[in-house]
Amino acid sequence: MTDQEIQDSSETQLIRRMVGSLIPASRNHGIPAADDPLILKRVLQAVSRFQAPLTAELRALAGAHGSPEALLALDAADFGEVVARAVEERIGALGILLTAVLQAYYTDPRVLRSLGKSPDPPFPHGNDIAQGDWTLLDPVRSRPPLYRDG
Amino acid sequence: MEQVDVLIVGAGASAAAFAWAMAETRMHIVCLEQGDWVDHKTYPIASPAWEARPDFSNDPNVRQGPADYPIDARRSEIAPANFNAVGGATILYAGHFPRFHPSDFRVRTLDGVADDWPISYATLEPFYELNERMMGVSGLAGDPAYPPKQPVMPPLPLGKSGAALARGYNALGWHWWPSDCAINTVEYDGRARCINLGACGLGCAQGAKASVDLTYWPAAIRAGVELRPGRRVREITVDDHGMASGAIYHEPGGAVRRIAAHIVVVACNGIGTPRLLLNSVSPRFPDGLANSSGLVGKNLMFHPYGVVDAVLDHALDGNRGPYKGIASHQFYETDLSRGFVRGFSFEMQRGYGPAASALVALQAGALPWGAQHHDAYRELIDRTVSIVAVCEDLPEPCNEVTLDPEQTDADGIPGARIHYTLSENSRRMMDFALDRGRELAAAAGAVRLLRQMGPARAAGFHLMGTARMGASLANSVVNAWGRSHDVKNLFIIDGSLFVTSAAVNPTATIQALALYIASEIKARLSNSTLFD
Repeated sequence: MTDQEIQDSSETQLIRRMVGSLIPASRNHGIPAADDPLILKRVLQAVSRFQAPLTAELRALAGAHGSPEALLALDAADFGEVVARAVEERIGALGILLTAVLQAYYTDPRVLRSLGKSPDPPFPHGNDIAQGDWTLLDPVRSRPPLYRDG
Repeated sequence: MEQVDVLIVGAGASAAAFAWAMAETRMHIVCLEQGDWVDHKTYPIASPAWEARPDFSNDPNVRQGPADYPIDARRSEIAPANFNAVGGATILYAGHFPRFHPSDFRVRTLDGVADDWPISYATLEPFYELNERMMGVSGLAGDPAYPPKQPVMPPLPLGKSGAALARGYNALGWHWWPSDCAINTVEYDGRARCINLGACGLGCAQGAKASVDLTYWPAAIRAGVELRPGRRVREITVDDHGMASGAIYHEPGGAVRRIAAHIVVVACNGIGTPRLLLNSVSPRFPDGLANSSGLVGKNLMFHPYGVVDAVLDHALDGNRGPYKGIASHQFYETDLSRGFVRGFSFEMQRGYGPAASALVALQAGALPWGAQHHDAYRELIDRTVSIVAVCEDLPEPCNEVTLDPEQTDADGIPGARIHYTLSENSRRMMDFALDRGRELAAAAGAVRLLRQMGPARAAGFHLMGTARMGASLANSVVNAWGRSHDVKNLFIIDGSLFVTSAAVNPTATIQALALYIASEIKARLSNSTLFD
């Protein structure tokens, strides 16, 4: 199957619509929806390893509404309700998709920047954290031993 | 056929320590490892999208790499974690490095359950000390939960997350202490100090975390040990006298080779070791090698993990800093008024990266979809610290590793299947631990809790007990120094040996045991009693 055929498949269209409904764009935060092409591409890459169970689940979901086309024809509000209910009732089977969406979305540079985080990997720069107040340990230092001899 | 003196199977925590300790004998020592060296530059933390790398998952069934073998965990409440490479699970471990308590070796005598170990804390104490110097362990002397000990470098920073939990512990009057961690807080033995990358469980690109590909193996190889990665051992062979004669293994690409050895040492972890022994069937050992006791694969122990995620009203460390920092042993020793025997420790998970934060919230059912998603997520990110209970699991013969009759690895060797159910004692302990975790979260100022779950299914980090040590064939697979009761030149040196699991991470004890067994072997080589 070519990339174009994959993009055009009913399952892919369904995934695109679902992830866009799950995580919509936010004008307040200046971030895209999860159906943004760059994010969606990574979602599809991630779920490709689990294509068979996910496809079966999506076909079952579409079948409950007659066909993929019928499901895709729902307006945004109705489609959102269907997706929300599916996620709640079929979390096991759809967990693969949800994990992929969250991993792709929250590693996207635009989303990370909006969270005040660098899109660069932590290595090699690293991070600073506070040493902390070690006087907090004083009450524990004064305790008698609490281990038992063997 | 190639002949060597000592053949070690596996190149993880125990094998590396053992190989280094044995190198001074100047024997010809060869280690076969099914995985490869891992280039630290390829670790996720050194690349964008570092939180989305299934190739560094600790679940072999997710990773599905060429070195992995299938583990069918459908009949288990806990899914096992591992990593098949030079360094083994130390590549991905958090580096939490506590010792066992003295009482952990005497559970039958002190608490009337399971069995005593055939060795004591005092037996292992010099090997704990040696191992901590070799690995480089940070911590703080004076912990009232332990006999005196001296870490080799200062502790990891408390940070905001550690300070928040410390205040909670103090408000409750509970014990806590900086964790012993195999993570450099100063430059040590040629390795750099920790720079708070915040992804210990994905491999430390800085090299500050003591994985044994950086600590023991270079020293062992310099001393003459041969480490051959990419070689998967199919079975251990035996001769007409019932002694181990070597092994049959697969070269990279699958070609089958034989190697002969005077001493065979198995170091494949609590699942890989019984898998190899059970796959090593011969007319003399029809039920698997070293298994006349019937105990190979039995008594599988995990540490059931309980998790309470506390959300505070201010920023914590998030994914900045090592995973661990402080731990509590307030509930470690037996107190029967709690409704169970033995105990648990609390450790801290400092925080989570952006993607992991979302997955934690998803798992907790706290992440709405649709228009509310973004604001809800932003209330959690960098404000969550996890209280993690590490519960002692007692040995149960029904919890076991068997061969998988359906799945094989890439070389056609049967995979492993595990059956595991939490005991009633462990369930009562878990319920108590989660209650105390909620209490601690409240004392630390939590405004909300996310996950409150146990056992955490994906937390099968510690694989123990499946080839236990003991005084006799009636209750053990190997003797008090790791030698098979059945096969007098076959040794086991990994977590399979554990008689009980204690309530802390096992790597320090696994390696201390490996060093101790090497010491015993060397002593018996010198007086020619090794095979008596």
